[in-house]
Amino acid sequence: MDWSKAKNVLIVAFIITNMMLVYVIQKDLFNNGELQLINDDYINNVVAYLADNGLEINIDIPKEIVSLPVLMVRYKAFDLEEMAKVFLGENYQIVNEDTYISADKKIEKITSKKFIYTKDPSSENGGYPLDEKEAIKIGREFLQEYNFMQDDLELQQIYFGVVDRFGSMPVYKLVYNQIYKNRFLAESYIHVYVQHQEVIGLEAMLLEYEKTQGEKKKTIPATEALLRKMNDILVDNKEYDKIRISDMELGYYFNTRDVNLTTWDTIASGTAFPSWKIVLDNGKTYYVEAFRN
Amino acid sequence: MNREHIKTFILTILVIMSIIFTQKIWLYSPVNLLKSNSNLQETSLEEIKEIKKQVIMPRSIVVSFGNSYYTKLQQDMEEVWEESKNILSNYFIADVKIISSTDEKYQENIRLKSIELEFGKNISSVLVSSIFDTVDNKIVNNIKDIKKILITTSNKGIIYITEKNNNVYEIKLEKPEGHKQALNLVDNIQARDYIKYYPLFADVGNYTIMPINYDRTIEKTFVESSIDINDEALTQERVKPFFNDSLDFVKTIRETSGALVYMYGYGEKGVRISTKGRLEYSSEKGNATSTNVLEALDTSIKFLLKHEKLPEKLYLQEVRHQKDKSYFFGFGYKIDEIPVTFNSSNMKYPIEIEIYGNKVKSYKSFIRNTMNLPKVDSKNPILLPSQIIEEHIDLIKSYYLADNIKVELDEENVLAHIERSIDDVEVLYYDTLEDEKRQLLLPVWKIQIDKRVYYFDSYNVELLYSHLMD
Repeated sequence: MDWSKAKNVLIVAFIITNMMLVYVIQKDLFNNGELQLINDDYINNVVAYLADNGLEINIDIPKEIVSLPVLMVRYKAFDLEEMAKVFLGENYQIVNEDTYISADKKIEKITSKKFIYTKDPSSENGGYPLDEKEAIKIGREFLQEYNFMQDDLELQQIYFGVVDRFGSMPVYKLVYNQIYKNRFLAESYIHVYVQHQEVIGLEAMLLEYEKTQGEKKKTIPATEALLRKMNDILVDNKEYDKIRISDMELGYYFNTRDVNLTTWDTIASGTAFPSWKIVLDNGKTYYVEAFRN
Repeated sequence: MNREHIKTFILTILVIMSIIFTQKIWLYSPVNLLKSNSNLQETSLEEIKEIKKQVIMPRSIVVSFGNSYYTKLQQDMEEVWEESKNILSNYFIADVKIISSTDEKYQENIRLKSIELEFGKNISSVLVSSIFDTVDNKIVNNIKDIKKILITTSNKGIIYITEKNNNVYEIKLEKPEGHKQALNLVDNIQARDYIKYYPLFADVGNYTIMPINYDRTIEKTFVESSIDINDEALTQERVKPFFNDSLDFVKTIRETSGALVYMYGYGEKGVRISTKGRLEYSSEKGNATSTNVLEALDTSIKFLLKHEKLPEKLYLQEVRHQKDKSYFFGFGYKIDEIPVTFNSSNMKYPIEIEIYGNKVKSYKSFIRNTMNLPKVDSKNPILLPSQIIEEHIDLIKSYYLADNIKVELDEENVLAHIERSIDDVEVLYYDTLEDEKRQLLLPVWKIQIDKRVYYFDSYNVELLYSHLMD
């Protein structure tokens, strides 16, 4: 046997084998890469399909396919007594274990995770017209004064209208949401209510980042999230003639709604999974888990 | 020559590289997974059968020596059950005659040398029969469930079976053989040092047997939960099998109490572990498929084998066919041959499992393991139930009156009523569920009087808990 020739053949065979193996491994690595894009044709097909089913898209569907990790987050715990001292001053009365009041102010907690501050509107401010810019400025100053203006808070929406709780006079509702590394961290918020020249209400439920859990994993594209959630959205919004999607975003969602074996009241912390947020123009928000399993 | 060396070297490198690369993708090959799955199935079929035979066992065995002397077995229970199975197998396999009988006849026979096996709640005859590898026989066809089996020694080839509604049946072997076996067994136990039981209230017509000497010490034992919630890594390993061995897509929630909840999907499957180490699993109900109690028990044992480190002395305490056509199985376990009990609003038995179709709908377990700590000996001897009743008679009276408020009772005769309604006494280990670790199990007397069950510390007589029977 000619060993020299045999070696040549084997070397070629192994080079081909190794190239194939490297290709398979590389392909897998590439799939885990940070960013990929879905193509326009596919997006157009999905949009047409959704429209046929009665779901209109008013936005450019995000094309990104990124890899994200799972986060461990915990609810920020508010101590009602401390909050009372800050918002009501030293002279406050205890109505019950969840409600403290002072002359024109009230502070309530819903478990330790959420608190609501309200103040009766001052009569001297009555009728002072306010524009959006001013409302934002008053809101921001209020948050700064009470040390609530965290770096991860972002003003995302502003409503102007009547809020039942504050009577028939319209108020500005400033919606601040939390973000983590430029992505939403839901559900957490601070709502600031501004009327005339003062803040008459504040609601806060905040999350705190604990740690990142495990490796990054590839998320599903926005189109897949829409198709997954389409039926739920249609069933849930039967009463509307037109159902339009007004916003869509990828971020982190700590799902405390679809739980069994526990209740929201008792939850302290947990995992926030990368999720797609789908917002309808009627204000309803849906979350779709962005991992394919 | 030199060139050939280089070629050999390159070839070697290429071979090594291909091995390394192949290893990298080897895990993705389904061959391994298929192989291990089929192995698991093969072994578990054998194991399921074995465990099924172990868990279907009596909850208590009373041996009657005649002359109103009895004993309730504790240490020798397993041995006597094994022997009893040898005697009973004929009745399930061979030709028998089944005749409807009476409670009087049953009582008459229990006063003579005999062995009475009492099974858990609602155990169907087909389950007991399956121990003898037969599910189609006269007993299964004629008797729905088995509450008690009485093995007599005086009648050739006769046993009695009672159903839960107290129907009594006499089972007679067409060709009786080996009837001395039972007599030998009774005599053998009588020759040992046994705890004497006697129907202390026979004078008021109550033949419930009570111990009249209890010269054994039962040590208080330190136990710990089988799950330590503070060890997150171990806890994760413990819950992985519930989620196909991967927690990659499983959400975690920690409650303010410290309890951990693991969830898959939008509430499809979930596991909650309480701070004390109690595990609770729930899964969405699948489609109903027809099933029977034997298949349902197989499904639950298969599930237990995959998800639980089973305690050695596991036994079936209750079976229930529920309204939604699911089956409920309640299991108990023993430590040092003594059954462990606790009082919890969440669960009645240490292991509870519900089977819907061929799927596990819910599962709860709270198992304690003995710790390597010195046991606590009590200086005082264990007290007798009769002494405890005497000590607490006022308390028992007040409970009795409160429980029977709608019944007109002659207060002077309450004592006689109470004596007549003492139903059962049993030694148990009571878990107060206070600690996750270093929990001291207390020996208690469970005494059933009228509609109420009492748990008294058998050393200091303290009433630990009482509840109305369900």
